[in-house]
Amino acid sequence: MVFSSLIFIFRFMPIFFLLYYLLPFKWKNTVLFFGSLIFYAWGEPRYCILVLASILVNFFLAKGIDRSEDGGSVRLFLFILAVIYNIGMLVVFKYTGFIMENINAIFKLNLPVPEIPLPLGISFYTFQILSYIIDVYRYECFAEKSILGLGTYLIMFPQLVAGPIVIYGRVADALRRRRLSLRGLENGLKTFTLGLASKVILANNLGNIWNACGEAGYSNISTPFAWLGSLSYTLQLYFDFNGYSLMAVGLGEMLGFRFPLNFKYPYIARSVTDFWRRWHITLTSWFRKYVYIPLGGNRCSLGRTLINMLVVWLITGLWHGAAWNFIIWGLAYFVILVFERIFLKELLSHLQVISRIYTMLIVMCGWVLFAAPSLGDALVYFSRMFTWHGGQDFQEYLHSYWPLLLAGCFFSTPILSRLYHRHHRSIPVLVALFVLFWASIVMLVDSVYNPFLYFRF
Amino acid sequence: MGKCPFFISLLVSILLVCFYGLSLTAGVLPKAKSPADAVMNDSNMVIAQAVRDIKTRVDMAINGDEEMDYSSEGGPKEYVPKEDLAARMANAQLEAESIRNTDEDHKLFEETPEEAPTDIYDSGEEEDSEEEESEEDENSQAAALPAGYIGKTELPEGDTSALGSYDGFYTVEDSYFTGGDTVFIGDSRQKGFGIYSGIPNIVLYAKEGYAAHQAFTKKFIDSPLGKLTLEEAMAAEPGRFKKIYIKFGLNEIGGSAEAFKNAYYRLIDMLKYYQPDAVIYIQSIIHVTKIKSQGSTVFNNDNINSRNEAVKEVADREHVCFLDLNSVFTNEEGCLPADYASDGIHIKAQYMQPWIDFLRTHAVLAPSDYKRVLQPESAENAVDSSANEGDSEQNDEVSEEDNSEEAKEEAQPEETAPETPQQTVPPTPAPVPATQAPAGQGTAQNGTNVIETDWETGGGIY
Repeated sequence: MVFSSLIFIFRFMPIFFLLYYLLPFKWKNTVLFFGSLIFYAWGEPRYCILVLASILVNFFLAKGIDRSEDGGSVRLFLFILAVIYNIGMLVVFKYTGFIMENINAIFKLNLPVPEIPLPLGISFYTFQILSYIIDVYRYECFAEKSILGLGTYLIMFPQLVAGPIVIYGRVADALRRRRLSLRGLENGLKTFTLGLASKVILANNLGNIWNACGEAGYSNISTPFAWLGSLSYTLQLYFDFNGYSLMAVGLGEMLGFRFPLNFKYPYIARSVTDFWRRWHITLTSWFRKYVYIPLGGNRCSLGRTLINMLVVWLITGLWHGAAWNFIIWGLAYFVILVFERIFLKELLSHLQVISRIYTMLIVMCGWVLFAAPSLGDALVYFSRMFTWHGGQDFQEYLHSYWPLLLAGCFFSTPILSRLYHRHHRSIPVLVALFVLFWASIVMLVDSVYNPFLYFRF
Repeated sequence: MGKCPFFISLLVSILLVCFYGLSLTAGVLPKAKSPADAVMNDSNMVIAQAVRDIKTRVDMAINGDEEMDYSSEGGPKEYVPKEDLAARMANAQLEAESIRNTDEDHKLFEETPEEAPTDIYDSGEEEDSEEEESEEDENSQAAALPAGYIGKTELPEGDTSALGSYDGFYTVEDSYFTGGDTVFIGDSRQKGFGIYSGIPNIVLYAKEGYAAHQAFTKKFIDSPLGKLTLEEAMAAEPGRFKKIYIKFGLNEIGGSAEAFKNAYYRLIDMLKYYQPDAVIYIQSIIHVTKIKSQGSTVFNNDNINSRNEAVKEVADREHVCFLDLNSVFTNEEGCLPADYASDGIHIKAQYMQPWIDFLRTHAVLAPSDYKRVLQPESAENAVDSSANEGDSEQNDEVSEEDNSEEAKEEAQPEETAPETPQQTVPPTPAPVPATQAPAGQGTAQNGTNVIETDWETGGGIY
């Protein structure tokens, strides 16, 4: 099930929230757990077992880690076992095909490449449970005492399939005791509506331009169309992913949880370093906390710091997808971030406008690499972007989509958000939100096309 | 309202819409008749139906659209014009021209895109051999063929294209399409063709998600009068087009075949009314790739094949050309080859050439072409019997189909005039009475009638 579907908004949500609000507190986690299970099973019932197994295994391993003596080998053994189990599952279900293909290519073998469909949200919940295991091992939190509590944390439906990646410590208290308020319900619903509109009105429609590039075949589009397509994908991805995160945050608030925000206007960043502090914040902070800093972070020699960065960006690329273009995408960001760390940062901080243009150019090219079906396709696309190919194919799209593109650029900036936060209880804003909600519903009714981009991961 | 005004107002509105939807399904309230209802598959959710119903009512209130029901009546009918836009359009165009008299902005292709090689229309091997083959019999007829026509086309095996009321398929030069009088109407795949075929100076009225029933309601065509529906665009420039290529069917494939056919009939009747000189070509729905077909319960090749039967039936009953694009876009498995489309549906730009070649080898002689070719005297002198001989061979298949179809239909002109051979059904639609003709078309209309006379008597030459 996805948030922006009629079945979620008009079937799941009313029934679920009615039960959730009416039942006494000791039942709330049960409702949330089974509700989330239904939510997850709706699209992919067979992988339910995988999530449930993950809950069971990690619950007992964490308990074991918690009870075993400090510094003992049992503790370390259980910890390593848990890490291997979680990462192993992720590798098996996400990377088997990729690994086999590469083994075949390198050794000129012809081993069968298994086609394993990716379990929904596995990249996200694996990282959440890893953070739990590591935190328990590092004494940053206690092991959860009730299996229902841990289960609820892991498969809570707002963040189950596409983040934000919530660290256990952040919601540990709320799992045991949380306050439901009408204000939370109201504000959560408002945030949900914003996310819904961002996804349905902006992202879905902007996606048409990028899709048109693909339909024509990258090798046939004109240079202006290539840039237009890249811009539209850049905006689409942001409104899609941010929309989803906003909906998750809103739903969390309605449930009585406070989830972290995932985006902080990434497209106004003044350097690529800055961009990655604003884009998918929960993922980058996860990598910083559980990979970069344990490796030594930047508090060691420059060479060592660079190696740490390389490791982080290699994994970041791989996390986004099992294909070479994601790895290259991660490595490209590594190279750029190294340049920025060494000398560009100083330069950029003096240039107000150029720094923003520079960042957006890199980000747009990055998304091409990210979105192209293969590395070869991405190279073809770049060749259309950076060598001149004339053509009128873009006019049609520019003509019909310019209002949407302008709106997209406008809403990528925080111009309106300050106004919103100051006046979000005033009547005009309420009316606007009301209109946005129903406009989104009308578009949903009209369209059959409604995929989430980040479901690929 | 107090603490959560948004929540409460949203809840109340949702309950109201639900209640509205329930009373619709219970039959307490009448449903708004929308063309989409009959053609599209409705979600079974009460609220979705209610939202769609409300939206239809709002649309109708704003646009003043007439109610249309495609579910019952069937078959070609006489088109009832809605509004005359021609004069307004002419005025608007004059104004626009006086402002910037060099710019012809509303035409999509003014110059050949840089990418398109100049020899794009160079005939492939297939056509070369064709030309050689037909050269002998062409020598006698070559003079008779209008400019731009190369020769007759023999349909390859497996090509189920049907001629409608025309005498035969011809191979044409690129100039056939580039006269500014060719329009392509259809869905996103037709749009892709319009953009990437590289044919200059064609008119493209195609849009993503466009379906036949939307021809009268969806405003998307830019004009000096604002956004127009297809119907309005045709009414605004009556008689402008000489060749109309249509391609519909994939977007509405989830709906009922009956409603689809009725929407198509209505569309073609409308086109015939406003563009009486035009040759109308209906293109089949192109298959999707095997992967796409297997992965969808709706957009699969079985559905496309059965829907193509409906397309063909429409073409037969309307006496217009049916072009079987799948004869070039299908592999031995009955699917679009996988590398032809990155998404399984939309044909990549580099594979437009087979489509162009197909259209080039599947052109027919328009009534206006006869006028250019035939001398009035020879037309008068031509003997009926020779017309019979000449046509019957080429037209065997068609006349058979016509026979069976026409048997079902009510009074056709042939019955009242038995000496006229069946296969010389006028290529143009039944002449529109001068009183009904769109303004500014009176003279052109007379011209058409003259051409028809030429055609009926002089058909034997071809």
